[in-house]
Amino acid sequence: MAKTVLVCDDEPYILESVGFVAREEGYGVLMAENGDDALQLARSQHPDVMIVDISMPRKDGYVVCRELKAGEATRGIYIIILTAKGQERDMRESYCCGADEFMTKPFSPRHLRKRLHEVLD
Amino acid sequence: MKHAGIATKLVLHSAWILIALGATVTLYSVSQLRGLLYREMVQRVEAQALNWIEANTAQIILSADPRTLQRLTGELRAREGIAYVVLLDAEHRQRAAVAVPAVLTQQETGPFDTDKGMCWNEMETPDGRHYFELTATISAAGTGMSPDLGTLFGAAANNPTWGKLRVGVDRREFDRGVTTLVRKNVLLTTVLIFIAIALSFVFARRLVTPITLMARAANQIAAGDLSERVKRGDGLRNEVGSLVRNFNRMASKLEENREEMSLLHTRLEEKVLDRTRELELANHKLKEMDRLKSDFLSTVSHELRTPLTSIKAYAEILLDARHLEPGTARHFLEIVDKEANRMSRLIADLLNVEKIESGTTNLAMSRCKIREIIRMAVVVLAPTAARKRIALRLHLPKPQSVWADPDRIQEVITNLIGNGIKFCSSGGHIDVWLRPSPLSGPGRRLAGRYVQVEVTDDGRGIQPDEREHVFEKFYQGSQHGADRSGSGLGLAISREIVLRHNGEIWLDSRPAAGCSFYFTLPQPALEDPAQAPVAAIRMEA
Repeated sequence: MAKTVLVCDDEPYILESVGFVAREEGYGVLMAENGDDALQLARSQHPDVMIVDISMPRKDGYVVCRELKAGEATRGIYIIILTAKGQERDMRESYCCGADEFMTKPFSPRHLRKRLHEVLD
Repeated sequence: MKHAGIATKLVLHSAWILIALGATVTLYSVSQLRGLLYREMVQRVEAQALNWIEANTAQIILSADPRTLQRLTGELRAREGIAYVVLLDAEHRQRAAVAVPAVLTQQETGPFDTDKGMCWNEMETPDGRHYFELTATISAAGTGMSPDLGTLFGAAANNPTWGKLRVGVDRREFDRGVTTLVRKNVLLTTVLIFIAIALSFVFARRLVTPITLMARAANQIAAGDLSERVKRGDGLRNEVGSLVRNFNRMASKLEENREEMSLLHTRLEEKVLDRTRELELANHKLKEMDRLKSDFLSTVSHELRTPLTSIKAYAEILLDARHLEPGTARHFLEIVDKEANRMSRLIADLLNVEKIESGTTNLAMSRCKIREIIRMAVVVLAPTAARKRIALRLHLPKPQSVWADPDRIQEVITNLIGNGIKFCSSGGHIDVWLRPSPLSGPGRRLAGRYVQVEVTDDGRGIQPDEREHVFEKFYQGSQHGADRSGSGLGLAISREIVLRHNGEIWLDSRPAAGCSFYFTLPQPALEDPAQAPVAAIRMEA
């Protein structure tokens, strides 16, 4: 059974690029444009990895992280924060909220591919 | 007496001196007085004795009758101050005696005065009574009688001395007289001393009271009460008066100086407070500016990274692609191109807003027709609106002149209409109104002097909680599916431009029923060319 990656970003082009990369590597891809949709999808579809932006309308990345890590069923999802906020305090806040990995924009699709394989295979 | 005042001390000292002087004078005068009294008594008794002898010698000698003798001695005894009288013959036999004490012992013998034929002795009785006793000789001398007549009175023939008269004066009585006089003397002296002390007290007080008051006032002044003045003694025409006057003058000077000092002090404190407040305010402003700058930088980096992320991601995907369909590759390249454009627009807008905010852009102010400016903006935007099938309706009643930089105002109108197009759904419409004076909103109070432009769309409107943020830099609607092609700076730039024109900009919106943006611009009548320098100065600031 193919592993699933849930991508969540309010920038359509970025969403599309990340989705494209994951799909190319053979994983199932789910997409959400805001925090609420991402949480709903995560609870119903149980993805293996989530790639989440921080600044999003209707629940930001921090809230999504905290709610997923608080839920019994969703606690196991590996969360990668992918954000244009590259400061030290953003990273600290992300890890505080339960994120598993912190990645800054602009990101390298090559590096992302590598990380997805390392996490999922 | 340690704490006695100067007056008391002065009076005490003068009192001791007065008492000592009074006592000395009294003692001296008493001794002098005693001598005087004694001499007076001696003269009086001697005169009485002589008188008696002169008057009675013949009768004594010739009659020698004991009763007559007794009567005559009794007459002498009755005279003032005489205690006893004894009459003796030449043979010292007692012929008559009145009130003589039974036993008399001679205590002291005075010298015998041959001229007068008299001598004074002091006699004493066994019970301690003392008498001054005069012994006077009765003789023929001066009587004109023959000395031989003495034989009649028991004297030897040719003995000129016929007998003796002893007259006693009670010493106690003499002493009593002396004592009375001394007592009067002492009493008088004492009274005089007391009067002198009282007078010296009065004078001392008159001199010293101002000094005492001055000492008290000096204490008060030392304790800080500079309003204290000496109210007595300033009229005195002596050193004390001059001291009091100078003291009061000094106190007044001190008070004036202190008031001046306290005034200066208060002013200084006020100045310090003002300066501190200014500094605090400036500091606060600086901190706020620093925070804003830091926020701005982090926002800018975020905004720049977003298109950069797409460019980087698609470029790498394209580079690494092994077998991409030609359509997909082109699509990705188009995205890269769009995002690169977005980035360059963002950078241009950033520079633009920075220039306007820092005041380095000078507005090219001129009298211009607002209707033409609106039309220019609409001409540029018309194709975009047509593509989205959005109707642009203009309501421009009559030519209105404004005092503005036409290029900048066109930018504002383009931003507002562009936003409208962006948020209107297909088939919607945008109305642009030009009004001679504001009808509503904050600009209403400026009616008559300003022109108001209104841009209304029938899009989805703006949520009430978002309204106050729309003019902030990089604020973009949180609505689902928002068009992110803008820089998020259009309204911020527009606001800066309008404010620089001394106009105002605001909005009005009902969610799902569209929104209206308004801005005002001054009419040339208000901002005529003569006032242009004022505007320029404001821009520099």
